[in-house]
Amino acid sequence: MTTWSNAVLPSGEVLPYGIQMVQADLVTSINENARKVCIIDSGYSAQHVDLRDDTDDSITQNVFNAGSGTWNQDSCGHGSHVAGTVMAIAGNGTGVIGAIPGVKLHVVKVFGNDDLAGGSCAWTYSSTLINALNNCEANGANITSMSLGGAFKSRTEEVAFNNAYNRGMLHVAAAGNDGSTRTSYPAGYASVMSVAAVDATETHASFSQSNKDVEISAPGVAVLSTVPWLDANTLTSGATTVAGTHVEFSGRGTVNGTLVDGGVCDSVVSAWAGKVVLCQRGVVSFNAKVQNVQSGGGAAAVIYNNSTNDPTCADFAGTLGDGNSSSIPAIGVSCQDGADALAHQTEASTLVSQMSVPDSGYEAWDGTSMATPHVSGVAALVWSCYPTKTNQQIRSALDATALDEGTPGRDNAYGYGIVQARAAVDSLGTSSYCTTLLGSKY
Amino acid sequence: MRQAVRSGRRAVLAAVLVMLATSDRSQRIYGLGQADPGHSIEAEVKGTLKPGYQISATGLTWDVDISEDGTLRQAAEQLAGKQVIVRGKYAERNDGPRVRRILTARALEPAAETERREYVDVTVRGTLRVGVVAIGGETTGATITAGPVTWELELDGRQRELAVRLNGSTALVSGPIRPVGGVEVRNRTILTVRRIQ
Repeated sequence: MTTWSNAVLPSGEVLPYGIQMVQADLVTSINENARKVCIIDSGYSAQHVDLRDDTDDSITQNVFNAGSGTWNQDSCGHGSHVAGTVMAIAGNGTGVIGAIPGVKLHVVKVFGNDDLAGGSCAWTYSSTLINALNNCEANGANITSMSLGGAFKSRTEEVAFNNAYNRGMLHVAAAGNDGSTRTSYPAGYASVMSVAAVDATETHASFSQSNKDVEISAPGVAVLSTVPWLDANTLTSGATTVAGTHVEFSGRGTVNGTLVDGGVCDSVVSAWAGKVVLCQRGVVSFNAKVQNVQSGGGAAAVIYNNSTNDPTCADFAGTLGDGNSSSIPAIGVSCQDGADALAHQTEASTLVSQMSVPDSGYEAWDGTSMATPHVSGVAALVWSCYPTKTNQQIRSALDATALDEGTPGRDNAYGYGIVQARAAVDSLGTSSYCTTLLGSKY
Repeated sequence: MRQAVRSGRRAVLAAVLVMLATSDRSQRIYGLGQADPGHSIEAEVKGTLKPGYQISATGLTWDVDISEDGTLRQAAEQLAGKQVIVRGKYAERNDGPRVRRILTARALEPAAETERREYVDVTVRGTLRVGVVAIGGETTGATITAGPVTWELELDGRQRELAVRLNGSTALVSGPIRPVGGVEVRNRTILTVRRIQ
């Protein structure tokens, strides 16, 4: 078992651990644009600096879906995160790198509703999914990437996926995040590759569903990729600036004030007026802490972690809770950053909590949704090396060369194992378009 | 996605009883969000009555609309901080990034200590849909929509068969609702169906 981590390259770009784990950086293809991946999701952030823009003719789209809006508006960010894992730009000196940066893309938006009332980033319907599949095929896509699913099996849907598969498309879908043995569809159809999630230690993620339909695994925990906003939360004290996480439902803004130690902030202290108050996590709720700081006239609250409440001691995503809010900003920081800030109490500080939309940001997300595009991207990369091979041949190669984990052979948690790009290419013989490497190409 | 950390809430017992009809106020709040007059949500909430006419139960907070009813308001002031049962009509609207839940009270009474310390029981008349697909597969696969409110339905085997037959039509479902925090879909509300017709 290997423990993987995101690698910062000399260029400043980050090579996410998942791209390394699936060996996408160990295959060089001069034929990446020979395959087209269709992402059926919440849209695509064409303005993102790390995603190719909509003037590039290698990106096609279903421009507008009456139920979900315009293809390049992605208020959820989910589709853009998925797209980044497939094809975030390489060599631009910023952000992350995808599995196959040069691949062609088709975008069908089925989640989210940016312009229409009553929409949801969470749901779509089976009938919409079938229409999306048809649109992918009509626009020349070779692979569908579906970080989605539902609990109801549909014969109509199954036939649609089977037919498209028999005409040469490869389907990839999320196994689901229920942590149960329930089958999710379309992942559960025989013509669809069901993708489970593993973490950076190649261990099956606890939320990832395990069942007889799971075919293959890929990284799906703390996957760093592109999001169409920039959520900046920092505390600067002395010469040091540390990053934190916005406390949900608290205010936003930039605040200057003297740092003060508020203990656990379980009572109101008038001496906090105009100051940035450091609160240790624990004893009372986040909401109580922030309300106490606000009532004491504090300008902002910084809640720092403690090992009793969270052994990781990392920064954390807290919330004021349903129905609560504050006018002052509040952020969560790690134990270490809290200790460092305490060393600067009585000094001037600046707290920034700003959400900029649209913008070009990066976040680490969990889910079988994040595992799915690793498989879609690797499938496209391997297929680009052998464009005359069939979808079934590519699928078989991916399954046969997956890194076996868990019970030897195929099992319900990992399927055949973790998808491996280099091993798959090596198994298919000489390619006119690709070379495989022992070390990263980046 | 990132996981939230939420605080728990406790409830206490109270001892007064007040019940009043408030149909006029129901209509007023109805206009805030529920677009289809054929759809409705009736709710019974057992939870802690908080200052500012809010009730918290099962991790959800509701604004209790009693503003134009002096008797209900007086009762609410007496029961503040205690465990109560509120019955009325439910609506919700977006208030910036938050969803504001509004319960137009028809009855407010102190709650007896029972096994169910907190609950939200609802009866929804709305459009039932099956074949629902969600990000990360995080859905029960069935929903009921009344105006701007869509909740997922947890169905047993026989209920699923009926739901498939009712797909796309108006249905009446009842049961308790609960919030669920998913891996990718952060806030879900699931209605465990006791009755469907």
